[in-house]
Amino acid sequence: MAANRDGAAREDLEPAIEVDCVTMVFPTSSGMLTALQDISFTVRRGEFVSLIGPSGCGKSTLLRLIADIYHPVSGVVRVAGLPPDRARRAHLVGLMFQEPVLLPWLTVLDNVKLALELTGAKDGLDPAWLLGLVGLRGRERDYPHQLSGGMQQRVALARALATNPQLLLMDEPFGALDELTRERMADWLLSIWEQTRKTVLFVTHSVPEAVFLSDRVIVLDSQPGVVRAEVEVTLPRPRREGIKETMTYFELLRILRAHLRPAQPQGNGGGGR
Amino acid sequence: MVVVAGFLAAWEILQRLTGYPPRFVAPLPSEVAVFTVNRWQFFIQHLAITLAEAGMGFLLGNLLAVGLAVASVYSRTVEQVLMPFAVAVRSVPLIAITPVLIFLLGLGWESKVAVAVIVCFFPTLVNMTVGLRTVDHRLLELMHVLNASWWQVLVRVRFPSSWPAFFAAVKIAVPSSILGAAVAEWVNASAGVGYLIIVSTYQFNTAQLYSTMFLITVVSAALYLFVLRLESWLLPWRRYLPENL
Repeated sequence: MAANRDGAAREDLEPAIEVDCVTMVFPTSSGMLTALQDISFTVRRGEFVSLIGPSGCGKSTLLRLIADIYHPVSGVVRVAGLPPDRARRAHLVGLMFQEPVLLPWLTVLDNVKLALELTGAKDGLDPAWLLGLVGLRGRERDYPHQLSGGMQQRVALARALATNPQLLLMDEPFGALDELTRERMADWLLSIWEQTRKTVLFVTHSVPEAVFLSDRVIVLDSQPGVVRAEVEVTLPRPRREGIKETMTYFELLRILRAHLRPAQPQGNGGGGR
Repeated sequence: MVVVAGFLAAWEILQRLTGYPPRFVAPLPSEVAVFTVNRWQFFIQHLAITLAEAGMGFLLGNLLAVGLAVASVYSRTVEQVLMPFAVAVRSVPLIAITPVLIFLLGLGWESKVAVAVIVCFFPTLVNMTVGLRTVDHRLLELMHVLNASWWQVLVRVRFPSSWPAFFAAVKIAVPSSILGAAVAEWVNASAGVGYLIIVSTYQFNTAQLYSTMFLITVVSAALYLFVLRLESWLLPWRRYLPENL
């Protein structure tokens, strides 16, 4: 566990994600929209990094660039030292969205199996074991509609982990869940992360969630998206609920909220100035 | 079922009491029933011919429509060239296109099948094109990340998610294929339901006319109900889809 926090041991490894001077532009009806402008950051292997920022700051776009769904207009993205398409083909990347997006005509187990079938991954994880890991043992034969929203999202997590990817990209995975489920899911995710030690890039709107989960939080500015700040989360691991009562935790919340404030005033009235 | 039986019983009683409409214009439901039962082999023969034409047209029309829908999802050219053409053919009234097809394909079963094909083709084409396209874009992104080929996406995602749309089309296509075949027989045939209707009308054989009408309605309705059953049996997850078609 302690080794994870020891930066020196990983210096020689390729970083899990390198984003170097990436710009992304989308055509819209009112001209070109610059979603990301010369953005750069690195995620170390095994690190849990959250991306936080106002809506429209290009967080999801960034995730899609890393997942090889979009291609940057300029700049370089590397995943485990590889171009994104090579990393995707080597099934190094797992992806999860705000909604579970399961196939409604397949059972829970078949949904997870599908990921293995499509990729043909040989070093994949056993789907039944994975469902046990996310606490769904006994529900393998159920269909998605028979599960609650939180359970469906855990199936989606099991599916994302099925190919045993090095990198897990999560786009507001708990954003559609109620507060209680959301906190439980965060606990789940942490305990699974502690067992598997994947690199996680986690997009969220929630400051407490980002602090509770991450090693590092990257604050993005919007329009165009640039990195405004990076905050190391100095909380010890393993983390449990109790950590949310500590001074460090509150201090981190304060710092992050301060970083988020100027361009995102309370309510949605007017601009930042 | 009960409603239909009640309606027929009411008709029988009212017609017996009031004497209207006269029996030579519209026979009593009981007379039609007796007529049908006595000559059931005769009716089955004609029904079988129409159903065979309709069935063949149904299969061929749907096959063509699904194929074209798949092509139009994956190829912009197919969509831009074939779709307007398909819609144009659709806009020609059925009774106008039927004689044309008879000229082209002759007086045999081919022209009847062709009309049924045309009638089935459009609902399926339109629904399947929409069904194959309206797949959650995040699901497609996920398939991309999972390295799925276009074939895997088609078979594992697009086809299953368009089943509800397909069934919606089939529900229209089943009765229309029978209608299409019957209309073609109407124009020119020596057997089948459409032929029976024409002949009965000319011969003023009202009992036979009503029998035919009743039988073809029952068969159409039965097939429609069968499709409904098939859908709820094959797609138990369908009603849980979030506002998806």
